[in-house]
Amino acid sequence: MEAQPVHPAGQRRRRLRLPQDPVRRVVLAVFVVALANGLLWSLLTPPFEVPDETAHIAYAQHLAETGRRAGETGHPEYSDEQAAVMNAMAVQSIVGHPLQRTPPAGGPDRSADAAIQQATRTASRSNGGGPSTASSQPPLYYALAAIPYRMFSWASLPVRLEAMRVLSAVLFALSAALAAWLVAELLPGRSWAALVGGLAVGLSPYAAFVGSGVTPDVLLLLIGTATLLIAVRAIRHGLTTRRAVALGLAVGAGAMTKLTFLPFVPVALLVFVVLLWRDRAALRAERRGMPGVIAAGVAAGVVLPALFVLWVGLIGMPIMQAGTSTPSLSPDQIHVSNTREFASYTWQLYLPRLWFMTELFGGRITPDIAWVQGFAGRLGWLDYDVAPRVIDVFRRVIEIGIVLIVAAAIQWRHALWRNRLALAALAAFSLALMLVISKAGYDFRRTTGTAFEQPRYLLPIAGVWALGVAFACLGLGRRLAPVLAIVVVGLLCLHDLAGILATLARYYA
Amino acid sequence: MLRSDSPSVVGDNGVRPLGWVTTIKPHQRVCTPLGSASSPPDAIRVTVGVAGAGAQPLALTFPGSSERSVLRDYPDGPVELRIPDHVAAGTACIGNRGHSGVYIAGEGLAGSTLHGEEQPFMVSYILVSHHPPSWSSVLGRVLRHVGQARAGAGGSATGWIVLALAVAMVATAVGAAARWAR
Repeated sequence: MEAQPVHPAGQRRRRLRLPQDPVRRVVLAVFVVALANGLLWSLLTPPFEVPDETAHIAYAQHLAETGRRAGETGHPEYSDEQAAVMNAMAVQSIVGHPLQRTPPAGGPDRSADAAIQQATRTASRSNGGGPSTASSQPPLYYALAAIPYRMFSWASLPVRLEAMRVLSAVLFALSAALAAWLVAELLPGRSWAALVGGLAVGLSPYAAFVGSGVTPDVLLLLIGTATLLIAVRAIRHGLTTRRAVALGLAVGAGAMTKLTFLPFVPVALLVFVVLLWRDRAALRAERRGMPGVIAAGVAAGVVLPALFVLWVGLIGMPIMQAGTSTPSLSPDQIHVSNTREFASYTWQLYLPRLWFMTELFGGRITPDIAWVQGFAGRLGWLDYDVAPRVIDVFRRVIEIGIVLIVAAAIQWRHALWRNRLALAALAAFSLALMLVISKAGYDFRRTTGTAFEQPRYLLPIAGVWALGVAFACLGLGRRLAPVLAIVVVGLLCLHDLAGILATLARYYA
Repeated sequence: MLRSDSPSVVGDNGVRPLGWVTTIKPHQRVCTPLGSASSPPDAIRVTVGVAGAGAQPLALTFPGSSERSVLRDYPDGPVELRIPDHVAAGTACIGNRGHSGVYIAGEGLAGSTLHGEEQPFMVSYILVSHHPPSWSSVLGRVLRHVGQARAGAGGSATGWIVLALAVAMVATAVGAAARWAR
């Protein structure tokens, strides 16, 4: 019998075959769209123009070049190379100056290129890593970013920066895909819901802008969404050893990414304990038994923090590292914190002010200013926005969406009740994060007089946003919901394009 | 042009109107470099305040030119001073022809002059055009600008790649919606 010829191409075709499961197909489609969007924004936004990207690049470079975390006293924040590149690209004159453009063609661009190449050849890359706005943060994102950085160590800093941004774009696309999966988990049998929910994250110009930069916020977006998904799956399908390990790993990774994640930790622990109690009979029947599941979950949760403690011990650095902060007001200008005012602040930050509440901090705290306008598209170093009429339309769509969510909640109340534990978990994760943000914002405004809140701090609960968008479509009823989903996808595309146009106008027109 | 909130902003002198930097007293004239513009400006936007004294006539003049324009009625805040025809570059001076002072906004950077002497502030000029270039006439230039000054991380094709990715993204999203939203 003759041997059958081998067809490598045929094998490749089989390997690339699309998944048959509709949910997986939708998740894949969302990943592809979000990846295109993330890559687009990574190329569109000039280097160093994502908030705090200068500090994040300095951290990643220092870690990649020296194996040490940033925040070393006596060091400048930027290496000589980064300082020279930022100078060549006129970064300091562009940040916060919305009418300043990047160096144009016809001379300035060639001068900048020459200065960058000169810095690549001669300037030190390892003498930065001093205290910065990022140096007090844990190192997981920077350790991951160091991989593409090292892969392109032969190239100029803008090339290494773009390589790190590509990594961010992949993390962003994975986040959108997980958000779609989360929606599919809670609204099963409706492919359109997973699609519109995932695209609500993947096509958001604000999320794509932040998510395609060199910033730990994108890893936090991914890990936050993953944590919500794992918790919901464990609640709906039961706690298993694998899910306990996944939850532990996600929580440990989040804690090693950014301190903003810390409010998720007690909520995840609470979910874990509740599930251990609810599923005790099934867990006792597992091969490892309940002690095995507990041990696996806890071990997974502490493995990354333990590695971090070991690492900083080996390199002789403290666990809590120095950072820089906004200058404080003089002591006589700082008013004393009080619980009642903090409660009022928290309310006014997320909800419309009630008649009996005092207008705090000159009326500059409203959900509209902090979140609606921000997510509509406050871009760059908060120095430009999408067009005002886009913000108006976004605001109207949000208002209509809230009405539709209420309508859907009434229609689908029985389904909501059946999923009450999962929804309670999502609410607990969201409230814990929002509370910590408002506490930080309240103290920051009291002591510095300036605003703290930025929409990106809510990115870890982007999955809740995805669920809200999909659920709002159900407000029109079972038959019209898919039609509304198509309209929403169209609006999401237009919104993203508005952000792209605003960015072209900001930096290049 | 590409953003509706600044349809006619075509340039500036790099100074933001962060706060009042000086009071132009009656018969004083403050001169400041115009900056650069992507297309010929028709007017200069400055931020002024009269502190309840009523609008004072403000004259825009250019050293070495007899051309001038005068703004008489205006509210506090951003106002536009028309640039006379045939003047497009160099230094522009704002003179107060009224009877009380006019606050003017800028930044605390040296750059403006008063009676030929450099001052420790610079007045903010935003250059506006009432006939901005059309989309189609600038898109090619804007897209070519995207990848410049990135030393290997971009190039003149970067903007076109961005455009291609945007088209692919929208097509995939709309195609997916048509496929699954039923």
